[in-house]
Amino acid sequence: MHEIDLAAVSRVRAGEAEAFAGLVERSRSVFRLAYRITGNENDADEIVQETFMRAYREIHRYESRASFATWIHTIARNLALDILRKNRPGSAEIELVSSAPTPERLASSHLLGERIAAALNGLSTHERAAFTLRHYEGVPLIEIGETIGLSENATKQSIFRAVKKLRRALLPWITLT
Amino acid sequence: MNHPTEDQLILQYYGDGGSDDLESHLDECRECRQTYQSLQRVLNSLIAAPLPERGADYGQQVWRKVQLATAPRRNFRHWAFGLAAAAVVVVGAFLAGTAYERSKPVAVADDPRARLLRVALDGHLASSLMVLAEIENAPGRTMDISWQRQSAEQLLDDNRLYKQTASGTQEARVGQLLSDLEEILLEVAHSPAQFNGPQLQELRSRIARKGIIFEIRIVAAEPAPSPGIL
Repeated sequence: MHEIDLAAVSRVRAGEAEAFAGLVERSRSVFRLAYRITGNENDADEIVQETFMRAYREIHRYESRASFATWIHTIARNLALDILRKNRPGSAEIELVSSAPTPERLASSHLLGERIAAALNGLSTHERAAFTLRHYEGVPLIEIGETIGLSENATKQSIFRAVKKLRRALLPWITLT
Repeated sequence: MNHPTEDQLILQYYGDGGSDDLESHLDECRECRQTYQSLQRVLNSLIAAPLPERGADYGQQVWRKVQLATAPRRNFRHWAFGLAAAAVVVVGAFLAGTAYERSKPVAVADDPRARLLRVALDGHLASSLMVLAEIENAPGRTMDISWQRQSAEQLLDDNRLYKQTASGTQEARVGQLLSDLEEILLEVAHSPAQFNGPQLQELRSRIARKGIIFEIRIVAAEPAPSPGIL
């Protein structure tokens, strides 16, 4: 894939704009990343658009040491974090559920999905960003720290807090007994 | 080793600082093992987080907007020429389309059961994946599978229903997946609450041989079949 991307990048740099269409095929994975960080579909769509706009305009800055996917995801990640900082400057507390779930309720993916969305929305900006990048994207701690401007230790603490909040909010919903 | 802290267990889950000592401790200490399993359960459940999908033509839409935004500005003469050319194309397309509509055969609509099946399967596959992922990721050589056993029992009924529905549609791949999944769920549901090392290894091998986890992810990521043209 890396070689195919590199070939497409070379063609775009040589003036063959249409070759960029193949690179834009990554837009769905970029959308998923942006949505997971922001939790908002419209924001995620805007991030995707802006990411590829920037990538197209600044294709000369892409260095082939990293894969094109990594480069594009880094742009998207930074844009998503900007939006997250603007929209959600503070952190909210999660409202815990008071009643134990029945198996029928557990079986409803919508209910569980809603609880997960609510729990993720209860995280602070740093917690959500650090957690999303570690859990869903598998980004190493040190790289997450560089992206969100925290030390490796502070990044770890953000992830710890995020996991504890999620656990507190979700455990009653996924424990059957 | 002392009982690990919650932070250490979180690091262990992500592979960011686990140790052999910790793994051995989880093997030996039932209380810590249960705490770790409940942590795994929560983190594994996050695959069910709602994630809106975008259509197969999403990339093209994005590309068109990039093209529009980056196209060099044209003067009025270019625009006038462009509009005139577009008008010719639109009128031509309309005439051609009208002629085609008159001549084409009526296509049969897709089976709505297949689409409903895919929608209903979302939650079922997510819950099944949770059970399988916990078995795959269980620490140590033994495992208390009471929770997974109970979940498997509950999932079995739904699985049979979905499998039956799939057999009446064109969803052969989904049918095969549900058939394989049923075998594994049956085995888990009828297993003893405590799995020893060889039993656990055998079950993991069967899951791996059938490639069920991978197949669930593929089917879950596929868009539901779209309705045909009437």
